[in-house]
Amino acid sequence: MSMIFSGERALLTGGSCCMALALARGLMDQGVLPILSHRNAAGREKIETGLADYPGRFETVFMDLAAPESFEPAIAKARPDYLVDFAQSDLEGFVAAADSNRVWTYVAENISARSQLVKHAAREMLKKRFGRLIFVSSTAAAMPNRGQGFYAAAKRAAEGFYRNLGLEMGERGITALSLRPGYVDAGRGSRYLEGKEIPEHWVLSPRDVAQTLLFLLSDPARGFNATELTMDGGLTAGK
Amino acid sequence: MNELTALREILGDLLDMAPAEIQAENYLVRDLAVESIDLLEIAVYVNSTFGIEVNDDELFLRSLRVHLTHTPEAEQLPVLQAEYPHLPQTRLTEILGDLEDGPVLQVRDLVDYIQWKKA
Repeated sequence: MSMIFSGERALLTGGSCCMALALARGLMDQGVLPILSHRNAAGREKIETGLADYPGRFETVFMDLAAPESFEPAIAKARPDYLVDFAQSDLEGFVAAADSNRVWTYVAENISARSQLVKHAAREMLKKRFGRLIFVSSTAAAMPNRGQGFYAAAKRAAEGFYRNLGLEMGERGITALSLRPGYVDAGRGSRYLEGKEIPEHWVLSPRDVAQTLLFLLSDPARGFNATELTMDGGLTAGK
Repeated sequence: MNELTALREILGDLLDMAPAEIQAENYLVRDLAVESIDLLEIAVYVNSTFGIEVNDDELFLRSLRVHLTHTPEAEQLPVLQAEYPHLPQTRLTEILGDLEDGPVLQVRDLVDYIQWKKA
């Protein structure tokens, strides 16, 4: 299917995850250059191996939520028309049991640093008066499991940045939204799903999410602005 | 091209005005009807045109009234001098006498910031 994209360059944070790799393939098929971020050599290698069948059609860049000084050079290199934000670090545990230092770090990286990442990206996009940003959130933002308190809080906080960005900059051609996928059979989602009896229609593949993101980046989807979309097969719709 | 000329071109472009219509003494909000989103664009263009790191709060004197809250009158000028080292004392004195009429930021304040950053 051919889609319409006004932009030419897409920065994918957390670029080595399965969903980012699947989205990168979709973008390349549509003639959009994906620039995938990695935190280390292993991440870069995973990207290069995962996209080996698309030689010379993608780029990689170092960027780490734990190193906010990496944002400006990464954005300057990527000059993105699109940002799809997959990056998220791990912190699981009961709210009343969490280690204080880990909480400070987790909040600093996933909330404070992310707001700065979004700021740099939006200011770069403002030069062209065009940009589209999508935060890959989670249904945990609406309905967390036990042990997901910090993850859910970080997702909700980030959704807030993206919603306001779309609200504040829509008139300058910059729109933003969050997508809340439910169970995705990839990465930490696969580990969670292992051994559990979960209705098949609740489980998404990375490709399902990637194809949806591709549509949401395309020009006709720009009406989805300053909002959150749930994509979970109905998982969180009822009790 | 000096800083004022370049800034007038930026403002003219962003605000859809002829650069010649924009004077150094114009108030951004009171005279040019600049809004928050315009200020954001101005900051981005000042950053890329002049190659300087821009702190939006300092450039637009955003916290000026916060700095003056609970500050006795005799200490107001020294407080502003410390917060806004790019502005000359004469201008700060003028600002202190102009607070009641609305936002005080003028085009020349941006020029002073750019020159101070470039120095």
